[in-house]
Amino acid sequence: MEETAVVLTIKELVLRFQPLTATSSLKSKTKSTNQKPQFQTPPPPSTSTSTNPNPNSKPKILTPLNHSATLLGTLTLPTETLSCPNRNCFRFSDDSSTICCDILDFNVNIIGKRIRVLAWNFVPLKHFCGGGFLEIIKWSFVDSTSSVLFRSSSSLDSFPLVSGSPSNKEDQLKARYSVMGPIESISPVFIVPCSIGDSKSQNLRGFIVRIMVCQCKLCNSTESIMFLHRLGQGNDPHSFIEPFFVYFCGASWCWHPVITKLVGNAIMLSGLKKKLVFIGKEESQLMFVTTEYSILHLPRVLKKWLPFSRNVIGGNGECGVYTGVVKGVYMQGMVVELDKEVWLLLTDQLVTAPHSLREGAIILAMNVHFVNPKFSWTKILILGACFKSSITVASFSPLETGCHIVSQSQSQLGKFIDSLTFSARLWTLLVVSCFRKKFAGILSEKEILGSKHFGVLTEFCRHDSCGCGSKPYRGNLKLVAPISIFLGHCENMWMRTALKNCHTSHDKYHFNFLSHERRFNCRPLRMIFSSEDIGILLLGNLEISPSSGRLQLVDATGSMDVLIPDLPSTWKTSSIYEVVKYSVIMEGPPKVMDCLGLLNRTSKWKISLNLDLTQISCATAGDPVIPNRDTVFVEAIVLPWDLSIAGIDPIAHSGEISRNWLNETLGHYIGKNYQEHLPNKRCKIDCTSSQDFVLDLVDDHSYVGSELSTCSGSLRESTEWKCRELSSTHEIPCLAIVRNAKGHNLVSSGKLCCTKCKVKIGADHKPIGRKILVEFSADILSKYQDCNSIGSGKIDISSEMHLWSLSFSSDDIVTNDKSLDDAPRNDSSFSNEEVLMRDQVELLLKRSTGNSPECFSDVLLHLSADMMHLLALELSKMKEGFMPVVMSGDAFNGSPHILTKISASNMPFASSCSSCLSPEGNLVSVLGNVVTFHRLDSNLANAHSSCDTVSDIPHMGCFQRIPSSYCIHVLVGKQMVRIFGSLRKHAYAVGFGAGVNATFHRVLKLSYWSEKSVECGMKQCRVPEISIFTIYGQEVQLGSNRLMLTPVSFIVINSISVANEVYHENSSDFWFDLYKSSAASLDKLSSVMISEFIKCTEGKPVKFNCRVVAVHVLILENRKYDLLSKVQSRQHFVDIPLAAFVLDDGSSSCYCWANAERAATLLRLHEELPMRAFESSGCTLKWVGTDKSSWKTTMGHLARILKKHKRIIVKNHGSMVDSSYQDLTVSVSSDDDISSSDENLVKFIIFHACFGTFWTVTASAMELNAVNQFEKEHLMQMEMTLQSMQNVWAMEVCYTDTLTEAWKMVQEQLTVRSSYH
Amino acid sequence: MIKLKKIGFGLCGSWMAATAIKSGELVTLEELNPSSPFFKQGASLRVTGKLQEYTVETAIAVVADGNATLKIDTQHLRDISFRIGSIYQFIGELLIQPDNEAILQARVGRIVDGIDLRLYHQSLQLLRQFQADHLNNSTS
Repeated sequence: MEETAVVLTIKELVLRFQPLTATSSLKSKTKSTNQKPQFQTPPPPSTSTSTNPNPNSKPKILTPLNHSATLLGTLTLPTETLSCPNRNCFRFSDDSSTICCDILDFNVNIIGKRIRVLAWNFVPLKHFCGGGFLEIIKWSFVDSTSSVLFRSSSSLDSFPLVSGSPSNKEDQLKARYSVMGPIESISPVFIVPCSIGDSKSQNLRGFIVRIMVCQCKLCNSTESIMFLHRLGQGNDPHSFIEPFFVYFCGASWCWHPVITKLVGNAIMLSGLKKKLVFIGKEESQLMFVTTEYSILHLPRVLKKWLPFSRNVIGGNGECGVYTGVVKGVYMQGMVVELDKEVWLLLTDQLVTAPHSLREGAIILAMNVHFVNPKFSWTKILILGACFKSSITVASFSPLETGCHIVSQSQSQLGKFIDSLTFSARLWTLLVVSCFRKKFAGILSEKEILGSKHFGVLTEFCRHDSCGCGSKPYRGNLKLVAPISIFLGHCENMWMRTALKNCHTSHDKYHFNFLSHERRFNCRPLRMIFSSEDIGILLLGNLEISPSSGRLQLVDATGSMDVLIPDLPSTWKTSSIYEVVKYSVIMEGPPKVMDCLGLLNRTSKWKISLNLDLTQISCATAGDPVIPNRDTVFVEAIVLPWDLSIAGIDPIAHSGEISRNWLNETLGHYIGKNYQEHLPNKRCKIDCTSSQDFVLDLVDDHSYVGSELSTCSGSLRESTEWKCRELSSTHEIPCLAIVRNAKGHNLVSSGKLCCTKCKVKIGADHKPIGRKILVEFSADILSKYQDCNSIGSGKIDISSEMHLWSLSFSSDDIVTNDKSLDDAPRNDSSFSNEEVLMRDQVELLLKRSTGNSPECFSDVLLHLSADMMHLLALELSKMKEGFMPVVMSGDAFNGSPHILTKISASNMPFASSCSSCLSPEGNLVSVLGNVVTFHRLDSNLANAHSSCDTVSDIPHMGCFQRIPSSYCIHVLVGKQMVRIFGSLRKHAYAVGFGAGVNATFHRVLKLSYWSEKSVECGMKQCRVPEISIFTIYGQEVQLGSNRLMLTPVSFIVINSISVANEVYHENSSDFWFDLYKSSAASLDKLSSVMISEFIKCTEGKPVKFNCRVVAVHVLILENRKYDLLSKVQSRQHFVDIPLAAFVLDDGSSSCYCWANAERAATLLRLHEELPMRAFESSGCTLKWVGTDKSSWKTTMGHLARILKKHKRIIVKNHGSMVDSSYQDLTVSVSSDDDISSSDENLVKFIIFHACFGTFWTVTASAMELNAVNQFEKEHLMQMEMTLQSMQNVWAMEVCYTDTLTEAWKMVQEQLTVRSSYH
Repeated sequence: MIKLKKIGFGLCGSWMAATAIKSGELVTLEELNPSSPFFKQGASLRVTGKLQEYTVETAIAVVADGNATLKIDTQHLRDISFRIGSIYQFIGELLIQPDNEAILQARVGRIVDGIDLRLYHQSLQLLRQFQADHLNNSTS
């Protein structure tokens, strides 16, 4: 049934200038309306139709007409008459006007026929395409004859490409070729300048089609038309693998939109002529060119070529088809967002998208390159369009979005973009869009960057070799971020990671922190992210921060601390460095999740970078741990050689240096008098200033490198020859290559004079050089300070002085080099008067300047191999005797270091602590892994736990008064070493923390130790771990490994472990990091009941809350005389070798064995003794010493009694269950009997302990044989027996923090419930 | 205890002469709004809050927890001193006055300084969950 719909004219639509859609015919085919055509009130004219849509505003749906409206007109091929920038759109014209159009459901028969457009969209365009763009969704033939033709019985349609009578008869003969096969790709329309005849020139429009042809006999026969026929029916399996190019030129160019629609379908073209087209100068390509006789044959039923429809997306640049919905069109249509995270790049100006490519349309992008750029920060797929690509629209957009009119101007930027890889193109476009305002008006005129374009013809035909196929599809693109943005990104990562950690260990996190807060004051969390994970590249200058003195990476937006283990000494502040491989170390306070899960966002982070600039390892950066950052100390060893270099001659003179000279002096070194062989030049210096110089080998150059180079930039090379007595017996001749300030290399002869006469030979016959301490003020190196008793006085270094880096090379290396084959290598040649070959010198130079990283020094000394050997031997001797020894675990006891005494006046804090002894000991270097570190504050001392208090540590009395003293636990070999001292915040080395491998230079090894180690005869007892450590008491019993940071100490960080661990999750207890046999950290232990003890322990430590019910056995001893106890009033004379308590938690009881601090805590010895103790014991306070405060505690009273009786043993023969029925007997080891008052006091102390508070005891179950051993050794002789109860060994005793415990319980409950539900 | 019971009977006699005195149900001040199920005439409650004001003449105390406050009639309490700022716990019966203002007729009162109110509220929630679960289990 024919529809009765209103017929609109194009002119009407154009005049209305309103985006419209008329699709009612699609919904109701039978519905007919007689309504007058009525436009709705037009919306405000859309001005954005030809510009980018505003991404914020949601496009609305095209205004639908409320009645069915049709258009009557003719669809024609493109002409050049319309002002369409694409120039190859279909045209739709009726009597009134002509506009550009696109059509779905296309059939070649439609061309030139009068059609009725039943469903359509209209998008107005102001100046282009005749005033608007028509999208034909549904159509029908008006003329019934067309339909008849369409339905004719023939299964093949033929269309002449050029209408009208052929003019060139000659062509008819040539046009005898035909090509059949599926269209693989189509090029855009391009113009070839042509010259016809002598002077006439014409621009030839055209395009190329690549048709895949089957090479079988049938296909090449004249009957191929029949095959096409059959092909249409899909009967014959052909393999279309041979590409043929058909050049549609001249009048047939207008078939471009038709062929575009046919891409992927099999066609046949007849009436073609063969031409050899020259591409470039040498290459030629056989092409079929359309003529006036050319005919397009199509099967009735179009069939898609199969290889075209299947794609495997690898993302490596392979061509394929992508169908997707347009989500957005940007950058004048150059960037099309498809679906989610698929970006179509239409950067090529010639590759034009149809006007119908609007937001909301479904498009088919054919022959686009699939590129997965593999950006680390985002996942996207890029579809790169090239000359092979074509885009058709499968479904028009129902949205009111504008058409994109791409201007044809070929800007330089466009050319540049074309020269990039697809992945780079996208980001370039994004950058350009960011700066578009700035670029506006500049780009068209200004040449920004050029590019090489081969032209469509070449690139289409040679797609794989010189088109986009020749480029890597995926550039190694990395995101470069400004530092400020980078810092923000890092903070985000921190937050995300912290949040994740919080979610995973919510309750533990919270409570661990609480319990740690008490012990270690708010230790920072550290996270390390590697550059691979971040995927961001950094650019910036390296500068020394004037405020902190740290090396920083700086750009215009911000700065961050950097740590470069291998910073080359040649680094310059003016250079811009690209930081590719790095680790970001972030430190910040651990965030406490409150119970609502809100994250405390106020904390600050410390972010630092660990970079990997080059492979050159010549310097290590480190921050000195010194209180005043104005000065920097460098410890240097002066090797006993003076280097004197003769007048530094330019390279021109190098040829004169005799090889013989090198060798001859060697002979003299061995025994002859050599003085006359010295080159005269040495003394005659005719350069502008005396350029001979003394080079002291600054041995600790690792440190110098980083610090010195910061200030040496401004230094001039004008050193002064320090006249030294050449009374030495040894001189080593050498060839010196010196790099001057301008970077030129000067070659000269020189010699190393041994100054051993001035050097004392150590007791073990090792030469000892002078050790100097160089102090650098912030601005410049200020003075040399001799810190060794051996050697001469001070060496003044002027501010103009330059410190040189030095390296050695030996003859061996040069002569063995294959490039020097012409240089005779046998020994005889050595004795000849042979001149060192110039190329050898050049090679040396090359080495000194070249790429090999080992030659980065200012001075390269070239020695003969034998000399080198001698020198190396001497140097190694030196090292043994004098180098700061990096101590191994075994080296702690009795290594021969010079005893250094830091006088009290040197200590910045000593004035406030005059009573303290000055620490005394050796300065040593320690290399090890930092296990943990924490502050030593007054909080710690007050903590009610048996933890090591500040006063337990020698000299910590002094440190106590400094706001931030730290204790660093370092694992050296297998030994735990503690280093104490002030770590000023600004001197805190970047990235320092647990997990760092660091060298602590010049730390003071204290020469005496607290003899606190437990002497309870427990060594035989097989209680695990106890013999090594006492938990939290942190008494290292293996040796006296206490070291102190001094003002001249410095820390060099060697490496930082890359592991994203929540700091206190596993490092809170270095104990367990060390001895993984103990499974879990103490703080992570959850409490258990004593009754559950046996089944759940298996040797692991457990924690339980309990009270002391009774004391079974108690041994008290008088502590032997201790130097410390004299100094520090907190120290007492009470030692508890062993105590057995009966603990009860309501569920069950157990014997708990404890000693030392744990026992003292359980006995409440640190608490004040209540007054009633004296009433009940019958003693008075009158004999109490004058210093009442020191005797106030229970400990004090016990100490007094022990002083009298040396050893007290208390036994309980009473109840182990009821505290009230303890039958205590007190026996003493002295001859005097214990007074009744003292006995009562001791008994009171025990009763007082039994009616005390609740304890949180961390203990490990004791093995049966350990218990038996105990019993045999201690109890049998005391005539005591043990009841059958569980035996445990106390590892840590703390007051029960009921509030924390309660919070923990609630949190556990909530977690259980939330996981349950 | 006996003494308290006597007071209880005396107080509650008018409403619940026949029933024995009930235990004070744990409730937070913020829950005590007119729409709450606890907001019933004569309900036995145990409330906790910081003493905001205390009038010696009337023996009326006002305790606060968060934004919620409650008047407490403390005339029957002995051996308790009132200090503004301290945290108190009262057990008593709720008396809803005609103007819909509630006053707790306290029969027990004590200082609970040092209490962690957040923890207290948390455990209260847990307790209720436990009781609900327990009830479900016993009924099913």
